[in-house]
Amino acid sequence: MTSPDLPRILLRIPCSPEYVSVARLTISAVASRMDFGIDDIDDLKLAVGEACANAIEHAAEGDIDIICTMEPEQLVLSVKDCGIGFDPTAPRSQAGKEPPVGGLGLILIQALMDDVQIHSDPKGGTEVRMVKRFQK
Amino acid sequence: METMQIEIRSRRVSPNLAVVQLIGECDVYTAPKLREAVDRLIDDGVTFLAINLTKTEYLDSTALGTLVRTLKRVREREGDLDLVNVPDRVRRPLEITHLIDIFTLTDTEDEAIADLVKKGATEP
Repeated sequence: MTSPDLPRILLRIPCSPEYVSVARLTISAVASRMDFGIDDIDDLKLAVGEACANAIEHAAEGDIDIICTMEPEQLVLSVKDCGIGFDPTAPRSQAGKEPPVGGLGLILIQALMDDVQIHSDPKGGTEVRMVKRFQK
Repeated sequence: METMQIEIRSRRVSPNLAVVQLIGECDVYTAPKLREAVDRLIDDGVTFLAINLTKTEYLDSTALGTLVRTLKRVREREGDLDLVNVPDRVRRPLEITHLIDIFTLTDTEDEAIADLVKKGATEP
């Protein structure tokens, strides 16, 4: 549960590929403000970009909400869409588009973040919650 | 929304060999531009490609998918694809997904051209 006193940044972007770079730029600024190192900032940009791309794949319309909660020892990111949801444990393919590299986005998110939780609901969309801790 | 996120420069080195420079960010929005550019080259007879990543700022999973698809297309035509000068900032996603193991990496365009000629590309 997030404390209401913690600084939060909320960004809402249209569910469309050309706005993903806006989300990356915002996360970069927030992480920089929190004094994350350059490698961590690159990780956060990539993870947020992948979560947004995933939202675009599963929610053709509406908006994507990105919520950054600046906690003392970590940055918590939530990327939410209003799409049809998906089973994050199911093998994915991108038939007709690319070779069998589907699901790479989730592999990257899992590898880059310290903690990842995915809640997906056919009626309520998908929320990817990611945590990046300061390296000690 | 118009942005200048990516620039793709291609140079035909020989009838079946081209060098492509990927400048900027290659993501879910811009990867289709890379796909179009390399598809055009392949449709025009290029089967050996060197993709120079020196000035690539960002690669996401869609971009990785495009690179893998391109590799598959040229190998189906008995060609190959080398990646040139992969900077640290874009090496990470290639390493995490183990896709770095399926590409030949070189430090310079000249090295890539020599490697591709050895693999069957027409000499410049």
